[in-house]
Amino acid sequence: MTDAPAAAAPAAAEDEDPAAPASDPPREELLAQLLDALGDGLVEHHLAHGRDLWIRVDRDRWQDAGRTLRDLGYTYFGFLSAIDWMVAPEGRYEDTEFEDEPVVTDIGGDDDAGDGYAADGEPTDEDATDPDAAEPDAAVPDAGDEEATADEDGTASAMASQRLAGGKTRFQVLARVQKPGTDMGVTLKVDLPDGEARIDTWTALYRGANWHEREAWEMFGIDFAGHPGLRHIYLPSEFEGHPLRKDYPLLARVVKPWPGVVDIEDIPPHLESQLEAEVMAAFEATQAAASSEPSAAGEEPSAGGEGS
Amino acid sequence: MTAVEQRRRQAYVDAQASEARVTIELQTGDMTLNIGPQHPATHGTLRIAARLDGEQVVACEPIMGYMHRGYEKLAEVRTYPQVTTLINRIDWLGSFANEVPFILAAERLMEVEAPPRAQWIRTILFELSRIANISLFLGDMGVQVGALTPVFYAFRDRERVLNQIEAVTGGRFHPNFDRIGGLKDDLPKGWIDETRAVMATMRRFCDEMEELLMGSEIFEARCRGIGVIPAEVALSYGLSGANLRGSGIDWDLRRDANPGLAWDQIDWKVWTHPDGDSFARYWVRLQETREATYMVEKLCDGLPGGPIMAKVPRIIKVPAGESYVSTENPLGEMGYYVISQGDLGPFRVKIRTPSFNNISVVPWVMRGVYVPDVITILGSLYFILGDIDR
Repeated sequence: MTDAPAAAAPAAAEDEDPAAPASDPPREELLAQLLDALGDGLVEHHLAHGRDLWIRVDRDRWQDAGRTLRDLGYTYFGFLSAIDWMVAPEGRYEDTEFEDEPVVTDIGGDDDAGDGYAADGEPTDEDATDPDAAEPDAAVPDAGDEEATADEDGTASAMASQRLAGGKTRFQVLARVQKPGTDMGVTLKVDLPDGEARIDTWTALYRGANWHEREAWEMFGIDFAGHPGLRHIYLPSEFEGHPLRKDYPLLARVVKPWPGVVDIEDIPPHLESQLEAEVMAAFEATQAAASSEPSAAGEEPSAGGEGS
Repeated sequence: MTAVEQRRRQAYVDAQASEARVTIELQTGDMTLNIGPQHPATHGTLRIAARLDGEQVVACEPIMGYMHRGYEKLAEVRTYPQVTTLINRIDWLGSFANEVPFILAAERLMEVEAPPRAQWIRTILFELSRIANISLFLGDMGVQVGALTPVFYAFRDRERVLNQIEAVTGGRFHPNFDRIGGLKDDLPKGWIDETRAVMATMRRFCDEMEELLMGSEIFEARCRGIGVIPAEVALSYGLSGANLRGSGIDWDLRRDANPGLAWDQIDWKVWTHPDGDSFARYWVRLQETREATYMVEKLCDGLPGGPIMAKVPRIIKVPAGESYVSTENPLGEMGYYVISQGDLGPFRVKIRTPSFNNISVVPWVMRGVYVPDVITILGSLYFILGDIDR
């Protein structure tokens, strides 16, 4: 069933993927209905034939979009979450070990990134009470600038163009609803303007949104206007900061280096020659076996089975 | 009025007054009852703070996070093969089933498809995980209503299924066996025959559960009509799996949104129950377990030959893109929204776990129920703590 490699194609706006199945009537019909109902409110969409539909709506039409979909029979609430598109100042911790894309050094050298990271420690403290307060100053515009500069060497712009439906700003809220009894699902997205991480709540539309919005508020600091009780859901109530933001350092990795980068240990020197001889002997044995009976390749698995 | 009459009247008035005083004293304010964090019914450390008026629950709020491990954050600093180690530990009773949607999401981005044999073995192990997971529920539900025997039967027979999983993967609980492009290994010799025998045992176990609990007057009294969740509420909360099918919605992602496994290659039935109460949820799970044993046998019969790995590079880099794949896990819809930027690891993984949504209905369904029913309703919703807290 993985014959439709739709998601890999650059997702500008309405791309008709040549490699995907030619058409997808139910999803096209749904898209037409949504375009009809939301008009300008539906900013962008991406249709992967036979698979999935992404739409990006205007922030002010978020509730409208949810209501429209619910009335179209998409009554099943999948999830609601957010994406922080900022490149993490620390990088991915282990990327430097591999040849290309020196993410860490690139951004570490950048003044803005260091600044944004340092400055962010403070704003996130105030953040716990008012998620919006922190956004406008240091972190967000920096993230934008950083990507803009990185665009020149090509990698970041390529990455940005791969984002399905939007992702031009730092924070993006996404939600997924499904039509029960079918495989029809829609992923809705909203780009939140930089410095204003606020969006209307969906709690009146989908009851399940309550907890998911609490989680998104806690993890990303996104304010859901009209939510009945934005409280911490996983973390202790006195927790400060928003852990899933990319500029929130993962302490475990800061304290000591990640040991899982290379999991091949060096062979102790006194064993090296011995092992080499064993490996060669085994190799020669298989060569000999292969030449004597060419077709007896390992179709039959060898393990004995631990059994009951 | 004689003095005697007067005394009698006074006594009457005093008695009335003292009774009134007692009534006022008994009319306590709402009481808060903490269920958990350590309570057998919570399968881990979930705390339920219930406000009670007498024996009735006025309001109830699950408090979680005692076991939050931040897998979404941790996944961002790991490579794709390393992520499966983490997600094994989400729903720890059906670990293999956790790996599958993540691997499928990554495969979808890489445009890799596992060979048919790998897909079939995946499906077999997936269903075995379901049996191992739900059989424990089938026994555990007895404990919630005061019957201790079923859970020992469940532990006894589940062990056989775990043995089969261990024989293939090497791990009882955390197989870490699924790979992008296929599987780590093939099935060991003689495994299929053993599995057939185990499936027969599990069917006997299902019959036993049916005999022990279904006809039981206590069980029926504690479960029938308790914790009724209407279909539209269930959908609105995003309930999935047997909790949704127990509310009469005929929807199974294995049948309706199969992301590529072998479920569409065999005949099987989706079980639903119209009542939406605790009993319906139990009944649906029982039927599903029995159905899964037949499914495993059919899958073993039709298992195709061939390789178990597709051609994938040694160091796995997933092309940039986004994909969401969800499967019908033992607990419900488990999905991974994977965002890749062409690195060795994901840029972001949103883990949609079934129990998080399933438990979010608790404040709604618990209003007005009696305290002992809190336990049975929690039990019948069936959650795994790791699946809530991630």
